[in-house]
Amino acid sequence: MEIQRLRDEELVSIIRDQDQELYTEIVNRYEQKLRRYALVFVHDNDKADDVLQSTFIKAFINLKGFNTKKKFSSWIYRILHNEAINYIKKHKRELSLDDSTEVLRITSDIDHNQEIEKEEIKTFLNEHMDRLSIKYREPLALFYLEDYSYGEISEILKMPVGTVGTRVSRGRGLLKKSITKNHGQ
Amino acid sequence: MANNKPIADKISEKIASHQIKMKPKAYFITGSVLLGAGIAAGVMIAMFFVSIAVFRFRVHEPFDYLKMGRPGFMPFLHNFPWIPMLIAVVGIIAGLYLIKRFNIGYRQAFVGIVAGFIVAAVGFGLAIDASGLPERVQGSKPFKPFFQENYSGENWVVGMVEEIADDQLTITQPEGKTTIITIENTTIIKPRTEITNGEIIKVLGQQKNGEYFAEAVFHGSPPRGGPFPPHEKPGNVKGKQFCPSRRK
Repeated sequence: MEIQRLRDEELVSIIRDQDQELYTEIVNRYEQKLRRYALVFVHDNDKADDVLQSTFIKAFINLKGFNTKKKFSSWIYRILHNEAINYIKKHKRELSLDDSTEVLRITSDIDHNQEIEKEEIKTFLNEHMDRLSIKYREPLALFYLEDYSYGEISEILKMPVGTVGTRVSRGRGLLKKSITKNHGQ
Repeated sequence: MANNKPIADKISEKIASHQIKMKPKAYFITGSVLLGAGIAAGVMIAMFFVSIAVFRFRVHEPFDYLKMGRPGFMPFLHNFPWIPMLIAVVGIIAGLYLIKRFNIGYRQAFVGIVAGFIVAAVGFGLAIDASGLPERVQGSKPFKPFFQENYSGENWVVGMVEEIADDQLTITQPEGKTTIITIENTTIIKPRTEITNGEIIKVLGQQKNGEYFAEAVFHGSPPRGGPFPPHEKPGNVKGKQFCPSRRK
């Protein structure tokens, strides 16, 4: 049996019932993706590692509670989301969940007449993610950086698909607005 | 702070040394069952206590006292079903908390869930009341406190008219206590129709030297499930009637 070829859900079944040590394969599959997502919340590699580690631990402890008919990736992203929020709450003084600064100044060389397409937004998000409020940062990151569909984002963030769409669209609008504003200055 | 060891190794070590263990399947099954039971209990408690509140509104008609103006405020407070209402609200909040806490129904707007919950509690509460369940349980020990009956207070009394004299009415309360009500020229009777024997009336007034002087008298009707026997319509009543227009 080639472990690498198994789907996440199949692998989870084996880990639960036969070989717990295969959990490292899950860690290897998700480490990079989840670290990138953790950085959406905490803008520091060490802190992201802390969040990541607690996410993998929590996922392992609750592995028997995962419904293998559902998507594992949505489940583990959800755990990371919760762990990151808890981490931020615990370290309020160092980090902030401040939603008031929707987008600050985003400096860019982009021509303001040019339409911002997915790839460009991806680049901007990578560079200026921390300047967006977390409310928009999360769905935008999942949509543009992780290539998740609205349905999957809805599963991860536990919000209606319509709300995901609204937030992605508003977040994108805020980015455009800010870029245009900065370009005009 | 994370050290330089790869995360996969750290996790692997913790698993091998049993520092972290998977929770058993039974834990999650129990959790789901308890969660379902908790939500169901919240809804059922809310429905049942809404039905008790509806029953109490029907039998005691607390809002009628508010029509009497300021003096009606205290009897209103006494007759309002605070405890059943409070428990119903707590049941609704508890159910909604569980839904929110465990992210059930996130696909629908939470406002919709709240509205659905309230509509269900009130709708089924009304249906339970209509089924007559509150009447059947009101006498049983565990439910008795929720059916607390108030038929008199400092400045108000409710009773069935037993006897009518020119300016006095004798009323009997469900517990058998008799009160003689003196009607004065200034007494307001609402609506201004005849008071008949066997009718339920609500009286606001003052007790002075053993007599009860009415400031206002309100016609009532014996509600279904209340302690008063059914009353015939005034037109069919045999016996004396008190006519407000004939007052001295």
